[in-house]
Amino acid sequence: METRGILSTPGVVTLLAAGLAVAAYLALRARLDRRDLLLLLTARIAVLALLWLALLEPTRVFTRGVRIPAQVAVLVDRSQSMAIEDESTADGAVSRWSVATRAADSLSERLGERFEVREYVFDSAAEPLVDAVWGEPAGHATDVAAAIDLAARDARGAPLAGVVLFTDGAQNVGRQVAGETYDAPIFPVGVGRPVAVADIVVSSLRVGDTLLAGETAQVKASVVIRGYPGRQFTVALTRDDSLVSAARVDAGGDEHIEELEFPITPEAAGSYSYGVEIAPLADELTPANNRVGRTVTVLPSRTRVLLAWGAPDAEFAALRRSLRRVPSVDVTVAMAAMPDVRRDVRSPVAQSGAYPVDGPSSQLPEDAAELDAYDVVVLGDLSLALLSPRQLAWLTEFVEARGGGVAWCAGERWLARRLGVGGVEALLPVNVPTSGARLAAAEFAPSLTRQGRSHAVTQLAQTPPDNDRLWRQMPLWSRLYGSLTPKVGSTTLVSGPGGRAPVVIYHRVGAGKSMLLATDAMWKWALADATGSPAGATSYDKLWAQAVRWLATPPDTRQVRLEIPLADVDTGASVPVTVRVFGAGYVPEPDAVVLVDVESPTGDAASAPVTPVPGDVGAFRAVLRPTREGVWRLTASATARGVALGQDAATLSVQTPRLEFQRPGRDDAFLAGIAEASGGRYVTVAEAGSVVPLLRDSDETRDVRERKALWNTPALLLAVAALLGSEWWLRKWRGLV
Amino acid sequence: MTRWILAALILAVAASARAAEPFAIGQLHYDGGGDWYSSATSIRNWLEELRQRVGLTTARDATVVRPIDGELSATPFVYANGHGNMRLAEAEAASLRRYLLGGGFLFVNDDYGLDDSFRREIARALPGESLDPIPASHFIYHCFYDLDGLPKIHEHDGEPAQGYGIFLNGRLAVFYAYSSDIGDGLEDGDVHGAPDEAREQAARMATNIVVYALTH
Repeated sequence: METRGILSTPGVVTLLAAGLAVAAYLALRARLDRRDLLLLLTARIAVLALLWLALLEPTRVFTRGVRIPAQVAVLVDRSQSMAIEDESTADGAVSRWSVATRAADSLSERLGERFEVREYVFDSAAEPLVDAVWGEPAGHATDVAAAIDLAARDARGAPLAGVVLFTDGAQNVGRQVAGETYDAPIFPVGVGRPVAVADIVVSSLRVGDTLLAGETAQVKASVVIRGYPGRQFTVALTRDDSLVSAARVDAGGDEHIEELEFPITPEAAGSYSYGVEIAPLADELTPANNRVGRTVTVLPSRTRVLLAWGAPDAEFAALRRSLRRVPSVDVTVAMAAMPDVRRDVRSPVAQSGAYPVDGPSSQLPEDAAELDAYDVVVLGDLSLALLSPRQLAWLTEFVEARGGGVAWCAGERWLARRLGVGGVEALLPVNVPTSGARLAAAEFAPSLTRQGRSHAVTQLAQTPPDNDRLWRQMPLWSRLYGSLTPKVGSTTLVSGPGGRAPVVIYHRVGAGKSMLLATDAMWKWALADATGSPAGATSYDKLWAQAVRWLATPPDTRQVRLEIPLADVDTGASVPVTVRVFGAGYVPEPDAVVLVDVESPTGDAASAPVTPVPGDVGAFRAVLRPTREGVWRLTASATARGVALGQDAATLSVQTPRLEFQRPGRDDAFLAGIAEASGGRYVTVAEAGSVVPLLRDSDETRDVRERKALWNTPALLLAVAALLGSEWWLRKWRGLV
Repeated sequence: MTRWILAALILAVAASARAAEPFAIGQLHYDGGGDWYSSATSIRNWLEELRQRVGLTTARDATVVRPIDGELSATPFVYANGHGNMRLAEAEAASLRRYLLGGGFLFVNDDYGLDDSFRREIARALPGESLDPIPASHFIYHCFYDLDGLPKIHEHDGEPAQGYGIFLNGRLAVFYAYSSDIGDGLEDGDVHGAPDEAREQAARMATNIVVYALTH
């Protein structure tokens, strides 16, 4: 038992009150006999004693075992496939989402009588339900494993009676859960119609990123038709929403898979949105997977690239292999033999002064006409001392006057040498110390600059966040050539340690472009498959293919330029649109009034709000969120001080994300497998209520320390009232009141 | 103070030496009991020949690599040598496959006794790919020195020297020197007592193999 101290303030006050009571009654002793005086004093002091006892707040402390209520996690899939309206009620067809959330609410209410219920929503990630608002099913992927993991984690050791999982079972990202063991039983509640229902799916469209005008290429598509045996379908190939060609498909069985090829011969250079589609049927599961689109860049001709190198090395071999894989690139090799190569009569290298990599013609161009046969020259670790003054002059003219592109790959034979860049200083986008660049062997993580995040060369993934993530995940580079300072007007796309040293940097020189790569260890990306990085080799290929294509493209002289990071986006995605405005002399114009007009696939027109980009002079930004599938047309225009500066246009191909609609039917086998492996049971949404009796209450108890106030009781109040009442009655009886 | 300056100079020299090593030969450290470490002086001599004959900047000695992700990708060129048994774990075979498909190059020298196990293990690493004879007209014999084919360096069973290879996506990714023993020919002269002519032939072939790998 606990009490306050006896000599605390209430104790002192009570003692004073008792003293006063005794004194008052002693003053009346002439009017009372001794027995009544004792009775009255006793009653008054008893009352004071009880009040004093109450003021001490005596409390009983004890320990008892309390049963811990078990927890139940209710998870509801909010991925896009849950929006499919294939559930039926008395009111007609309703979405899986509608049925699932209603059933989850009802089940949670019943479970709440016995369990502590926690509700979650999940798609590619899971999160607790906030304010009981379910929202809309918009997730682009489903990760069941992540949702189950979060539910288990949130239990924090408390007993978890089970996990109730409302889903259609279309797990398509994350860890596969087959064969896993679980700490709690899982009760999947299947929503939607099963896999075998009728559905038409255009599952893929494959065509090169770049095609050549006038050359025939193949658009390959895969089509899956379920539940229409014997029916015929027309598969249409469209370009910018106009029919190009069509093919007929006879669905042979319950599930018919067909690979199709459409030959196309784009006649003119440009950017085109190709689509493969099948007209939806009224009774199919969903029309959302009947079309796949892809934007293709058509080039006027092959990009002719000269690789000029100074000696065999890993960077050369990787780059040569990579560019030879790009259909729109023609590669020619010139590799000079170093002057210190030992002369040997039987060495063709020593005899010719060049490595016959692609035959005996692997020589550096000797005259302007030979150099003019190329669009881009990539110079590797080549000592510039091997080039004659005439060759150096032609190289400068090739870039400045003819608008050619040159890429400089750093190397010890030129960039790290004293006066190693003599004759080409004006072409380089950096200033090089007279003593040469300082080579640092240490590994470093290349990081995209603000300009690099949206530049055509360094865009390696589908979305800007994916691109940032991919660059962070790629193998490290090493061998950075430092002490280089960017020239005024140059643009750094990739920087080195601490974001300071330029690694990939370019500038414009006359009519052409010049780019420097200040490392000679990019080849490690080409070998990245060996390090388990799935996108490694592909990224190396893509980076170089984009670099040579961009270098071969004449510099843009338009005063208004509309830039979108991707030509193909998913419905609902956030698309940042940048408008760059240049005034007279192509100086960035910060005071422009910019308009971005957007036309939806149905022809609805609207203007997007535009704001200046902080820290990027002359750049303006609008953010679009296209909700409808098809080709969206964007037009940007700008004026400054009342003068029109021009306009630019671009198209955006918008499509429903594919992942959720590849196999949108309810996956009973997957869900039953989870239930069996975890000791739960698989039920359909109509049977969701049957889960309640299957969930076991917890028999775990926990010792709880409790307190009971002994003074705060009706008995004490009654006793005080009785004593005061008795005292009053006695005083009245003796004529004292 | 002088000692500190000397130490700083030594560190600077060491750092610059490391920086000037863009090409290294990865010596494959495989399991199975075979002497992967044999021909101790050959790689050092080989690198020296590459510096002198081709003008490459190279490492000074071998870089030992296990057949696992991360180690293989440290170098574009891996060399396997030995007399005994070679064995690759499943994960190692998969790593080697990824390395070769990604652009890496493997040169295997049968130092006598490696043939059976190498053929078995490379078939596991690259299932479905055949190890075919490389004709004397192939560019690997002519890319730097104009050779008549794979030279015979060391006599074992009287068989002729024969080069074999595996092509991946049209690229020679594995070159196997059988009954030639390029490795012995690259060793110091007093190790096997090979005549100068044979050692020169070995150096030329070894040079060609590296030049081919670094240009294709």
